[in-house]
Amino acid sequence: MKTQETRPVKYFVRMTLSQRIQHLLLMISFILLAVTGFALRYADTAWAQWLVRAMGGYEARAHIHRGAAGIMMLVTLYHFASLGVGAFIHRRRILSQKISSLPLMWSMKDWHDFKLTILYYLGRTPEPPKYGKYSYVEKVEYWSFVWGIAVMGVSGIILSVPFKALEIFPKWVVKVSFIVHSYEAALAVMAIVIWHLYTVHFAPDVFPMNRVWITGKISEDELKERHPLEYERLMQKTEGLEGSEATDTVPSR
Amino acid sequence: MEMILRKPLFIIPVSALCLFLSAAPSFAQGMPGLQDIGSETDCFSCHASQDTVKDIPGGKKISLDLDQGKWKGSKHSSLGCSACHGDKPHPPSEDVSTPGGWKSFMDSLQMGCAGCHPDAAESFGKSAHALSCSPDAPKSCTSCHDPHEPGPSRKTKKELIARCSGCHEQPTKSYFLSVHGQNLALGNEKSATCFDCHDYHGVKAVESVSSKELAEGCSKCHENASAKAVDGWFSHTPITSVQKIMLNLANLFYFIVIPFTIVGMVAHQVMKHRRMVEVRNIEREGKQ
Repeated sequence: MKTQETRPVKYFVRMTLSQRIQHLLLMISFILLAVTGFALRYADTAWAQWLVRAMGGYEARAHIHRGAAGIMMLVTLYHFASLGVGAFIHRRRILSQKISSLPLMWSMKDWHDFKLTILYYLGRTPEPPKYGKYSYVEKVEYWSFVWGIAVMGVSGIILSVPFKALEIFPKWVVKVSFIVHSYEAALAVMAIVIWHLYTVHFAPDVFPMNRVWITGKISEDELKERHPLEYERLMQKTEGLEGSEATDTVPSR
Repeated sequence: MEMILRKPLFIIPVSALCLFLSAAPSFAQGMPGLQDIGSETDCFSCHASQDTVKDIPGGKKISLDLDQGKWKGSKHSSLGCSACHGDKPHPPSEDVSTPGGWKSFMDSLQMGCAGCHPDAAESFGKSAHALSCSPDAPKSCTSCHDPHEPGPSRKTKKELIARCSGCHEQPTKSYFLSVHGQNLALGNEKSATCFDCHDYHGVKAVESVSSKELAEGCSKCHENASAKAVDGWFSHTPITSVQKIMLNLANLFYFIVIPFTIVGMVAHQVMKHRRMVEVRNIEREGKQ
């Protein structure tokens, strides 16, 4: 560990290529869905009508919306399938530890981290708490997305085959889907702007942009500062075992 | 149950009658009077620039001016004024603002609509509008149509709905919040609207459109529309208590969750921002 500090800037993999592609596809499909969706929701306004004309008319709008939804759902399915495969391969190691100690799972530490962070923000403590691989901010982000895609996916599928849905479910299911789909969309867009875009673009520590989503790498200093526990874990690991498992954050060239 | 369903349709505001009759001819006293009508040009010498507005029954006003541009766009313009208004367009006069006076003016028309439009007149006769006991229900063709304007085939669906919305304000509002209304607003003329379910002249009340008929209407665009699917569908019709509870729950959930989430997130980010700027400033001062 002491020898590391004398080295030039060292980078760690924060997002694998597959994760970056997933993120890019989600980003594109999210923007398309939001634009084409709100253009329908506010169809009576001049800007929505202009926008729909610009994208090629009401039919094109509907196709783009459904196409983007398809991409988003496929990426989500791929994501969970790959998580499942990974979990199966490493089942021994995963089963040997508590579920809450997995990187994206919630634990009491997140709750304490949250309280300590707020105290730090309010100037009551000199240092923020030490975060692991993913802080509570990132976990909120991830699980909000899981919730959002479940709600939007289910209500969206119902709305895309209304007559099938009307035959199978009580009539109110379609009406509720309609209400839920637009409220949840509004919530998702606001959350992305306030929570995600602020954190990765506008926050003073990353402004104008955190480049991890493009390069996939995080510098040693940044990792140490933002995810100190993860940094410590990786250092112990590289000291102990040489080489580590593909699913983890590993030192890169 | 049927009574409950029936009620809202007949709550029709007074505004209906003659809303579209913006350009009926004058028959007031002191007018050119009983003399024979000349050419159309003679009519327009007065009825284009009179700026006279008349009170008619129902608290409405009509202008005696006719928009010649619109009139030229109407198929009726080939018939000329006298085809309907006769040779004596200014009948002896009672005050048009009284129901009796208005009726005598309408009776003075040489030719009614049914002469040329028998099918429309027949189906109108069986319509919910014609059979309604409400004094506000549209009882004549001119309640919805202005014979001096271009006909329905030259109007967009949006323009046609304007006839319904005058009286059925709430259903029209909720229609424009539906996916059909939204798509119509975006220019989809195939999108279903009032008359696609309720019929044109033979306007049907909500409860008299059967599931089978409704499904037939839907299947013009939606291949898999079945009577089973649309049976009990509610759009701007009264809903059952279970449906009401479910819709209210969905609304309530988001009325709580959205403000709570947004306020929480904004507060968190504002606190973070202030602290980070503060820390950065301290660091800068330290360096100096």
